[in-house]
Amino acid sequence: MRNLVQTFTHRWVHPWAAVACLALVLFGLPACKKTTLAPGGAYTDVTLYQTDKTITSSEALLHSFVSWELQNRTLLAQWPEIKKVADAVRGQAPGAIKAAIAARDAYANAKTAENANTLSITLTTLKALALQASVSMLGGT
Amino acid sequence: MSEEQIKQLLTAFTAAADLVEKLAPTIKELFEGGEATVADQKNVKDAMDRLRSSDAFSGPEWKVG
Repeated sequence: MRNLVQTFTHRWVHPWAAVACLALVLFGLPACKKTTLAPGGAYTDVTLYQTDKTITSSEALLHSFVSWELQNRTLLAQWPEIKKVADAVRGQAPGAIKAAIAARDAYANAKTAENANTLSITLTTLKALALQASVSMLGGT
Repeated sequence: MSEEQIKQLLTAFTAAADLVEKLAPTIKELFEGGEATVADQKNVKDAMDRLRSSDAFSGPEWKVG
């Protein structure tokens, strides 16, 4: 059991660093380097690349979270807050992702300030859900 | 709580830690920026195409309750 706990503790700390980085990314601290696109790739607009990356990464994380909660529901019953967060994600994520995709497409078609603002708002909502799921998975609810 | 239950809980949270750890490279790339290679761009575009074309929220894991 002691070894198990040590293993757990070791693994516990490292992902928290990932969550901390995620929080920094999600809530807008400036990146150390600006993203650029290698020529010849699928994207010519770096904003659309970053938007698509944010949408797909967030969906992957949210999907992992709700799957994990379902698979471990019995064990996790003593922390009802986790299921509460998972159900909130289940209720909000599909709409949030669809809204982000719609805003992304509107921005791709017309790069107006209004469309950029709508895109920013929808991505912020999605990122907040992803952050909430990350923290919940690591016992920080 | 029995030792077995503790082991099961540790397994569950270790699995959660693994999931977040798996996403660390993506998070790192987002934070650090840098050049998105042709392969990076293809991976993102493919993931976006899959998300658009699939019914991503139809599985039991998305059912509330």
